[in-house]
Amino acid sequence: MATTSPNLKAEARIPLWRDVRVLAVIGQLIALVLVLAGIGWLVNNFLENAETQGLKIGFDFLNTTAAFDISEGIDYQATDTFGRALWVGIVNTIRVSFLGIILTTLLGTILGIARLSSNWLISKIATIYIEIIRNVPLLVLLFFLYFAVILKLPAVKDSIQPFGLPIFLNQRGITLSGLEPTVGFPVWLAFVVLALILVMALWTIQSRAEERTGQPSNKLATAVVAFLLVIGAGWYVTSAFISDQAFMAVASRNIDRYEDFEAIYMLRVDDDALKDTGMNAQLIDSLKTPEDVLNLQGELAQQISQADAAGEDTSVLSSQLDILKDASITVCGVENSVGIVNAASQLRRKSIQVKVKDENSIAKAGKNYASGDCDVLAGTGSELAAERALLDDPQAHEIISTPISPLVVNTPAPAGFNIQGGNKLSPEFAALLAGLVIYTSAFAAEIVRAGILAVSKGQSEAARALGLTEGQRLRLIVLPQAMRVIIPPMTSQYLNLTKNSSLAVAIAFPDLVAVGNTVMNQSGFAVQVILVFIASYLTLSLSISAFLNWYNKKVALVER
Amino acid sequence: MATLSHTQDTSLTTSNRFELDIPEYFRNTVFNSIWRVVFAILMVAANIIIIRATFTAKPVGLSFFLAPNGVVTPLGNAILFLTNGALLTSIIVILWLVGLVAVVISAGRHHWPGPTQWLKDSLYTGPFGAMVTLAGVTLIVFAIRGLLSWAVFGALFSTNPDAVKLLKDVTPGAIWGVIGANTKLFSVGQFPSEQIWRVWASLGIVLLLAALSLLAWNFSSPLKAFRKVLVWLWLLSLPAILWLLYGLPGMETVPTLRWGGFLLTVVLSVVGVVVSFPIGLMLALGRRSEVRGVPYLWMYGAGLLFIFWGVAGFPSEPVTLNIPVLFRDPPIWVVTLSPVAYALLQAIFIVGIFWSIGYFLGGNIIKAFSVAYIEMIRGVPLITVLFMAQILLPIFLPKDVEIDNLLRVTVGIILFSAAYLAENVRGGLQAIPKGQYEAAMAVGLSNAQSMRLIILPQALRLVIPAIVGQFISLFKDTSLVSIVGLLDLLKIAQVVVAQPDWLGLQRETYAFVALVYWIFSFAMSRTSQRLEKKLGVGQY
Amino acid sequence: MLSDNDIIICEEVHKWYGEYHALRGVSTTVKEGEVVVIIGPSGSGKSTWIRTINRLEEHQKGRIIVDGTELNNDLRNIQEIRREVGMVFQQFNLFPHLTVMQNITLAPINVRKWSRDRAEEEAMKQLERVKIPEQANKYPGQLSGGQQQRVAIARALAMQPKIMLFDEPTSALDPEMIKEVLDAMQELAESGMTIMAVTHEMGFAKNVANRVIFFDQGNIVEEKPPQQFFDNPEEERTKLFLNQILHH
Repeated sequence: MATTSPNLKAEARIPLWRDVRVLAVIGQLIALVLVLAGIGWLVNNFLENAETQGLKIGFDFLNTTAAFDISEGIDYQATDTFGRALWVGIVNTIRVSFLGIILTTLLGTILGIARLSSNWLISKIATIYIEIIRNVPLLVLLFFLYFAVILKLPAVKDSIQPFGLPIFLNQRGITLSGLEPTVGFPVWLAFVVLALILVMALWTIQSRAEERTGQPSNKLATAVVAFLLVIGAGWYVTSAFISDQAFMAVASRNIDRYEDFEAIYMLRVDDDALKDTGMNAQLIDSLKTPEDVLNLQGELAQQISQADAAGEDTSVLSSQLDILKDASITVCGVENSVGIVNAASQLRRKSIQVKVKDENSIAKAGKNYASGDCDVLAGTGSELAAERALLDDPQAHEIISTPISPLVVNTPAPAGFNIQGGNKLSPEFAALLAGLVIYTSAFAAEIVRAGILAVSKGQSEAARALGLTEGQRLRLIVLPQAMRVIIPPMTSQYLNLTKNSSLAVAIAFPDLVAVGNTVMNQSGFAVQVILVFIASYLTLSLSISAFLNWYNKKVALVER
Repeated sequence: MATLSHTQDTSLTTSNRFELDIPEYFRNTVFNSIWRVVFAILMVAANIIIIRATFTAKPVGLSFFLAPNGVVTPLGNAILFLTNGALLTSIIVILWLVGLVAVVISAGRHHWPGPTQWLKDSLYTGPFGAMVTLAGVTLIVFAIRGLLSWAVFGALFSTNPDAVKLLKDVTPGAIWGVIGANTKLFSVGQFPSEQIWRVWASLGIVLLLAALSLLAWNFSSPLKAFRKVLVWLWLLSLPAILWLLYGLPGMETVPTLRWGGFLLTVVLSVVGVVVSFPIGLMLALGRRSEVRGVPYLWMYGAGLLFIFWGVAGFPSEPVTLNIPVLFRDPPIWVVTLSPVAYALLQAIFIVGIFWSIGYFLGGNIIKAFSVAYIEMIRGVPLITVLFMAQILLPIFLPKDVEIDNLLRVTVGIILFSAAYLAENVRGGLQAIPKGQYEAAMAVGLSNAQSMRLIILPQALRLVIPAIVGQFISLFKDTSLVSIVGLLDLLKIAQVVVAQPDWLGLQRETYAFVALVYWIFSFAMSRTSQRLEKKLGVGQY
Repeated sequence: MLSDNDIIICEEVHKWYGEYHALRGVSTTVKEGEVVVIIGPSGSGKSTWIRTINRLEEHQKGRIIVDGTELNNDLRNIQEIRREVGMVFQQFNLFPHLTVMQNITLAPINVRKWSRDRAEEEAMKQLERVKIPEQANKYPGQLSGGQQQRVAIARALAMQPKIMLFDEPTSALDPEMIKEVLDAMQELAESGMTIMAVTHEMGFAKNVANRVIFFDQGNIVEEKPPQQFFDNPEEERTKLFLNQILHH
């Protein structure tokens, strides 16, 4: 049995300065006091300075009129509030970050896989790209892209069209074609969903039949055909029966569709003026359709350039060409609206020359139509009805509804010194997006490469031993496992991209920091705007991290 | 992988028979899938387009000196000949064909002399590989041709503004005078010319220390004992150089707003990393602290709340709060709270913060502060931190303290770098096995002693590569100070391009700036990789 | 040689990890000079228990008294106990950035405040005791596992402790190096050191121990001199365990 030693200090009071628990707590308390004292000192200074410098506290300024313009983004006018302006900035940041993340993932994956290619040339090119980009600061890259590349593109009327596609590159930005959904789009989407369900059902039925009978069926062909049939039917039905678009023109029994403007157009071709310039009467008579006019224009243009090269006088030919070009049908409407796009494309399809006079509201367009500036007013049926009511003689004008497909292609076309239609990316947006993607994808490529290399060779060997093809091996074995290694560092690259989008302030793209900077200067509420910065970026970062953490957990290996 | 022949090769010696079933090969690699056929067609089409374009490429533009007044010099003619599009394309195609034939013959004879094995494995990996190689080589050669044409053959190298003005229109390429004429601005900004010797002196000090360090750390003797001294010398050299540049007593002062260009970039990066290091170290230790926190922390919160009410008064009137909700219209949500509700809100807020620290972080205030600082700084962009420093520092410091813009921006850089450094150091600390802490404790060392003698020496050694990486990043990130008005290398470039003599030469200037950054970043990362290897092989 | 002095006293020692009850009322005493070997299944808490003796783990209930000093929250007590108790770990835990000599002299210089000469003299003595004096200026990474563990023993001994704790000292060693470490431990035991060792080496337990303790589910199940323990275990659990491990 143990004998208690005389030295035992049973339940003795431990002096506080030696008690480990107390020492730990004291450290914390000292830290607490320091932190609070620090905060208190800062707040004190702030209040003092606020008094003398007239700094304002509170967020009321968010309701004040902003009185400055923002060059791009969601709906905004200078009469909107500072709060609205900041929101426009946030949406722009989200827009460029979202697109940037998607494009970076694509480009980074391609580069990463390219670096692992067995083709020496491809892997060297990828390596050199990565090594160059990684060692250049993003801001320098941005400046180069913006000032030395995009702003040095030619003027609008000399736009570069790569491969003759309807993509216009010029110093005012990049104009692409876009698809725009119209009123029938949701209905057509329902058809698409229906088609998918049908295809899945057919696939399952045919697969079961395969298993039962052991005979391969042509389920792929059936699926594709069925899918195309259903969405084709949906397209037809939606185009024919669902439309809110219409156009208004002077009432005439002959005009039921856009195509009917052919006759009016041909009338506009000034035959007399052509005769006056000395054009062959037979030639003038041969102009029966808009295609003829267009062809003649082309011929004249060719003759002019030939004559130019030969140093001959081109005044006659030029005036003839001008007369032909003068003939046109003018369409009024809201700029970039479905109605205008549809009208322009329908008319152009018939080779009819179109002049578009667009405004930013239907009211102004209506006024143009009322003052006789245009032949056609395009818009939705209800808009046109309202405008017609405002006309002097409503009965003299008729509203004709036009069918509209669920998706309308918005193709840019040169029009004088401008380009009309299409989706325009400002040079700032283009430069920022390009810079972010080019820069971040270099790092993303390394991450992808490391992820693929991290999948042990044994996995690939087992896959090959089982007889899987190279593609199957990559798709089913390597990539899923690589994802687990790739996701965490990729997350931080996405976050970096989102934060780097703030460099927009250097090239005048109105992201959050750029707009916020203006707001700070205009309103003087520096502290509050900075708080908005911090809150917004933290929210964005946390959202992206949270989403990717969830995805990471989903694909994590199930371990004991 | 498709084999080029499926007949059995019974002899191991060089076979003189040629066994190659070409149709079979194509059937296996190209025609066995519709997608591959489509892809093959696309590749062939692409190659044809590329070759046609490069064959008919316009000749390179020659500068005035290679073709004065349109009369081409012999050198110019030579260049035109060598860079002729048709010539280059033909050479490339011929070489490609030669390689192709060599690979095919070798495959047929199962004998791979010389480089043919490498050609097959790396360049002619299959029908698609071969075509990619052709397209790739052509594109690369012509890209280089274009670059040389712009940067060399068509370029004007004179730094005389008058000559440049004269010859600008006949120079199809780069006008490098913009760089040459402004080297002082690029390197030291507006540093007074008579005092530039100080910059040279500083550079000399750095090179001397570097040479000594190379000796001391490379060969095992004799300067090994000097290592500790050298470390101290390095640490002292930083304030010494800064002081020298600014102006030692008895010398004329060069105000910091005249420091610019590459000098400023280097000073900001070095000061940033060095000063942020101890701060980052403390933050890392703070974040890892597992010290049992204050129990019942929320009680302290409650205490603070009552003090607050004592000083500012318990709310007695209804209060209207303007809560910014930006996506609404109007963007402020106006909420009126009764006095009781407001008091409740204050209570929830203040006590809530303390309670959450108690619940989530075990009441550890130090850890809470470290985590809050690190996560906040790392969650926002650097430009925001710089704005914060620029704008908030004067507001939150006492009225009579004046700090100039450079100092404010430097503080911003330091605060930013400290957060990232903290995470790197924390990684190093986490890498030390728990057993080291336990052994130190078991043998009787106190907390402070075990940190100083055991943990930190090991952690820092692990972390050095990450710290060097941090320095390289910071070196590139200092380009952002151009946005807040400091005349660093990038800002100088903008200034130079705005000068009337050198208007519109953005390409040359930004390309130059990019090149400078690239050279230094690349050199530093290569050195750091070698350093990593050495440390790994080193002592343990 | 066992003296009559109870150098380690454990009374109803409990420890919880959150909800998990790791030590459930351990009570025993160790006499000065006694060699106690502790065996048991993994996860039973044996390592946790000996780590509470030098406060690498903290016990929430009960009392531990080491050489007359109670192990409580008193910083002075803790430091005193740690000076008198040496520990050897399964993973050696030598300091990789210091030489063998520096590893051993670090604590005597910084904790016992000895002069460098005195510390180095003592260090060489201990190195000779574990039979590797020639390794004094090498780095741990240059030594074999067995040599590293012997350096760890020398490091602990340089502090002249009264008690040595061993936490599975040979589990991380290649088979051919186990003997050299066990020999060192045996020499230590024969010189009269009080030893508590957690190990799987049954040979050592049979030949060197004064008492064998079977530890399971957080408490002592059976403790007996080795002869009686291995030939005549009383408890069912002990018999089960012995069956499993002695049945290669």
